[in-house]
Amino acid sequence: MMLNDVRPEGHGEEGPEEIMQSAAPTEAQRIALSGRRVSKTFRTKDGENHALGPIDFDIKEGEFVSIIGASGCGKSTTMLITAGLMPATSGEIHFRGQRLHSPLTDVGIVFQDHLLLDFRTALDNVMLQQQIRRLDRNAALERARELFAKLNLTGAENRYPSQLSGGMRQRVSIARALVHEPSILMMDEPFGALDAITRNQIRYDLELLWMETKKTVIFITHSIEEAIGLSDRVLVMSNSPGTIIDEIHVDLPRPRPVHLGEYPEFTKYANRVFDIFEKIGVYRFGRRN
Amino acid sequence: MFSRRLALAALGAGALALASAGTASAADKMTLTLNWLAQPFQSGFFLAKEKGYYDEVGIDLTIIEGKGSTSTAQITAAGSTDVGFVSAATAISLIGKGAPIKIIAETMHGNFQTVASMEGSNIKEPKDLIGKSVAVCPGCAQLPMLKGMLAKAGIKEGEVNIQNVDQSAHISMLEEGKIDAVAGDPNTISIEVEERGGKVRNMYFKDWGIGQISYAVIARNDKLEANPDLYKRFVAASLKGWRGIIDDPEAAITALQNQYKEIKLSRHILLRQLKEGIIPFICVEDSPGIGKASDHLWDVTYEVMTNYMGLDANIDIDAAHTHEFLPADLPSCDLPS
Amino acid sequence: MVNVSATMTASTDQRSRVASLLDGASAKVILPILTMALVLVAWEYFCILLEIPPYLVPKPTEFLGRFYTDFANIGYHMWATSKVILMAFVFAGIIGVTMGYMIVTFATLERGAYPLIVFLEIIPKTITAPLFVAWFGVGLSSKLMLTTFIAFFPILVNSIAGFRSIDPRLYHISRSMGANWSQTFRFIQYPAALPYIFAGLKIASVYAVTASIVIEFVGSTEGLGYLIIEAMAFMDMELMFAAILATALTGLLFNLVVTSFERLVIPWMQYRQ
Repeated sequence: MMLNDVRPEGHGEEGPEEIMQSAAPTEAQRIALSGRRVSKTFRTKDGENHALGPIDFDIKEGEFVSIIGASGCGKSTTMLITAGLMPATSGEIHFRGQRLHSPLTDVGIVFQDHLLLDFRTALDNVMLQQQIRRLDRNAALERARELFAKLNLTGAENRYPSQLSGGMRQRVSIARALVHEPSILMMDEPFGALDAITRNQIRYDLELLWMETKKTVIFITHSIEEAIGLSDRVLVMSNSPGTIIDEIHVDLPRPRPVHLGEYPEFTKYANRVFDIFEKIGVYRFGRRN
Repeated sequence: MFSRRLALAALGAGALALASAGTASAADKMTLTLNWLAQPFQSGFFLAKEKGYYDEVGIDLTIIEGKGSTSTAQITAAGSTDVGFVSAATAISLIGKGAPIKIIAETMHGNFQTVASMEGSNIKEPKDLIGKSVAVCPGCAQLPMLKGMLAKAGIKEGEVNIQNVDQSAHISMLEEGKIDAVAGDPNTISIEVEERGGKVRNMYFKDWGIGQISYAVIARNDKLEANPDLYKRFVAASLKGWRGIIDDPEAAITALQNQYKEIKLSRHILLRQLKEGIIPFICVEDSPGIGKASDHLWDVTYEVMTNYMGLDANIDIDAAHTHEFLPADLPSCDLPS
Repeated sequence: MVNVSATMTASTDQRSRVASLLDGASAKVILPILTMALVLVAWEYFCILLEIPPYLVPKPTEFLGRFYTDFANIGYHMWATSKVILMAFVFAGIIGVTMGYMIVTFATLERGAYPLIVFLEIIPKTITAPLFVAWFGVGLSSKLMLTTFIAFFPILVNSIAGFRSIDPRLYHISRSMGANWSQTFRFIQYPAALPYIFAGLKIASVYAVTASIVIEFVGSTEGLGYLIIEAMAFMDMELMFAAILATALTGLLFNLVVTSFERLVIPWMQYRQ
């Protein structure tokens, strides 16, 4: 089922303004994940490395949030701590009001490397979720095949990762993160290892897929285009130790075309990020008009 | 002038030294490879060397320790050594396989190998070994002897548990009761155990039908043909040394210790080995003299080896040995009273 | 014209048939046998040409004949040695993989145990074998222990490499799935390490054979090493070489078993980059 420019469910014949409004956060929406005074200091043989924070954030249910920043600023660390995979040095993470003490399981994770098991077929890799979580096999299989279709992976089910292209492997990785229908999806620079064309295509496919179920998404990237193209909100992180220095609400209609140049708002948002980056030294350009 | 006369005298002395050195280098160089490391039972050679018997006949002899009779016999057959001292059975087996060597002197006629067991184990005859375990060192000549003795006594293969064990473990295994008996050299086993207060019973192979010629001197045929006189001299000097160890065992051990300072055994033990374990076996009852075995003994050797030790019966045993290199007057076998 | 083309197609058909024959699984059997046969022929030729004395090195025709005539005896000792190797191999495999897993999982073990293991393994077999015999006596236990000890080292080293080869970020994924230790081991760690473990098993199969023979030289009551020593004592060079041949065949057989087992257990190997 290929979705082309379908309006989000339940909105009928509304125009862009309507959609922009529903994209803005309201009190009624619950908080899925929140971080309070989260910071991380690594102890290395050269001493202590204060890598992150303190930061505070709230991520609402169904919100697509990107964290953008330079390499090494602490954004990946933020994601790992939020997922409960790494302990914070100080601060707390709350998932739906409950303090997080151990790895979050109602989540699907995608890293920059596909991290597929090279000894399992693509389908079996995805079905690892079912095996470990002891889900119903038939339901999971059906869901897996559905995802494969939506992610343009039909025919790849019984191939081993070594027989697939980079883009296909990453799509399988995404399928693995979604097959168990988690509430939250966390992605750490998932398209970083792909070529530009594949990257754009996958971004497009991901947004459409997301629009079906509107999961809560935390998306780490250093690409301004990706961040603005996909997110409801972009958190801009400073250089190490990373703190959130700006928050951009992206009011653009969905689904967003890949070539965002059409929208003047995009340039506005992008410039905002560029200016911040220039200010904090991520970019070093000459005088700009 | 004074200094010139001194210089001439010095020159003259130098010339004389050179001349005498010249006669010394005219001595024939020979290498003798032993069957194993230096032990009292080869001391006939060491004594001969110490007393200068080889020098007297113009031989400059180098004695090399060996790594087993098989190895030494093969080395001799390959021509890498001039003369070898090996177990006669090994030499005969090799000759049977076509090695171009001959036995030129039978230096030890009595087979002194035994099956040793602790006194309390009551192993008096081959039949007592049924159901028991016997250790033999890897590749050692005692294995064919043991199997031969058992075969002669009508004991079937498998009734005796023969274990292949490195000799370093023999004594400890015997003393600790981990093995019932050891087929080996009583010199190394019984005497060692007795010195530590134990009592060993020896069952001699020769008492149970395995009484073949024990040790012999061998050489390659072409070397014998090339220089027979050299070998005659060698044999004569060596047999003199072998007689010497009977006459003066103390001197023999002294020679051994002088030439092989690394030997750690006490002089007392070395003397015991020589007097108890070797001298009585140099000859047997019908030996004409040291170095020559009787025809009867050769027949026995042939019989034992073909029947019990896997020797091919087609071997021409007479061609395997020769007495032409023995001195005309053989040293006597008489033991001191 | 027609005839020529007909013969041409016939010969190309023949050629392709021969080619497919050489390509298939039969190639894996035919080629090694052919090479072996060639070596034996060359050996025989050189023995005759250089007139090598038979009491030093027997000709292949001589000892191959003994291999046939003494087959019952050789077979008995071959089985005796193989029994020990098989058991040792199984023990070495279990201990090696387990210890490899422990060492990778617990860093302190690596710092403490690994150097000690390497130190013990480096001591030459010719020295450790007599020690084992002195401590454990002659018989199955000392043979089994030494062979296991020697065979387990390559399995250990390769298991460590195998368990280490796993990208640590995979554990983020498995933990977020809620996988417990057992699931992580069964679904991720063990399959990832298997190719490495098999490499270790193949090496161990050769080590195990040599270790077994060496200890039989030092202290044994049966086995191919025992047979070789016995033949040497009797100066039976033909039997000795026949036994040596049997030893090589035993090693080859074990290696073959491991390789076939590998193909069964890791079918995905052919799909790796």
